[in-house]
Amino acid sequence: VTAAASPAPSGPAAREAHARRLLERAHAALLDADLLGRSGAGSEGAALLACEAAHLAARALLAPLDLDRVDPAAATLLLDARLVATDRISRACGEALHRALRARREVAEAEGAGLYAARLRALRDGAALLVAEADILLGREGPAPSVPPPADDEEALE
Amino acid sequence: MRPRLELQVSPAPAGEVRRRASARELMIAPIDEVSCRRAASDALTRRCGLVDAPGPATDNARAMPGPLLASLKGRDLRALTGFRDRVRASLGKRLHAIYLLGRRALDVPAEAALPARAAAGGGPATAGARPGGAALALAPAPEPPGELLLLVEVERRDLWVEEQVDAAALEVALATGALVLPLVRAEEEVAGDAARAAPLAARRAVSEEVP
Repeated sequence: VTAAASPAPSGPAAREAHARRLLERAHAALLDADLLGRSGAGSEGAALLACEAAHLAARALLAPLDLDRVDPAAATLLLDARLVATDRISRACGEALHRALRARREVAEAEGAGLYAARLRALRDGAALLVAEADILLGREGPAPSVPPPADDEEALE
Repeated sequence: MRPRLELQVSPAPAGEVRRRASARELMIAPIDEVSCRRAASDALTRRCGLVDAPGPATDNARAMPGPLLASLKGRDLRALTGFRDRVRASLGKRLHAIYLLGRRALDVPAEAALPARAAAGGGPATAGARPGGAALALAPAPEPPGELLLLVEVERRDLWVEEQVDAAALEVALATGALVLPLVRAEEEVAGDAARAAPLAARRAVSEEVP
């Protein structure tokens, strides 16, 4: 994994627009994760999409501060220091981002990364929480989030 | 407070050691090369926070840090020991071992990752800071933050264990400004043939166990 900074938009308005684009991508990734998880086609793909949604939401939160980073580890550390430590977002969001970062690396490093159903659900719910708090902080407008509610049955993500 | 010793091992005969020391330290009797090596390893062990009380080096090989562990300093070292202590306290016997797989520098400004208290002015003055108030002593500028990749081997993987690990990683990041990235592996995941062929197994073989 290479540490790389994203092309930094100049000016507050450009950064806000960049944050909104990232947040839209986070919503799309979360929706894809949910659909893939419900279809039962691939638990690993659903987990990676949920992780991607969480990291995109984190980047969206960091973009207005001119701290957007493509590297998930760098984004996680900056979110902890700038938003969780200052109580601008909840600690649950910080934990969700760490969970997503760890899952992503475990999938990349190991065969059979232990993606059982409860963990998949926790990854998806954590990503949804982060996206929801990003919606609130960034004042996202428009239609309601297109993410369907969590599954009621236990086998939905298996 | 123990006096600071700076020892240099030279090819001189046993019993002769070149050293720079205060007048008090000059009262220490000359030591041979074996004692010098022991003192150096003991200092290295204490520097890594692996032994709480200063004392003579033991023959326990686990107390000796490897080159990667020994290279850690500052916030990385605080993050590693803090994470280890938190995970040990929360998991207890479910935790089998922690391995340090590597460290990677992050593209993050050093000041941006400072803990909240230090960033708000509670920390020491840095070399680049303007002198003012009571903060007259200058400390070195904070080193760029990094990612410590760890392997946490547990008895059994479940959601509670993983939550404890994630909570510990977050706590450490908030307290130290360093990122700990723990990869959790259960006992049965380490033993299988597929697991042995995975890249993680190769990395574990050359990693260093955190004492």
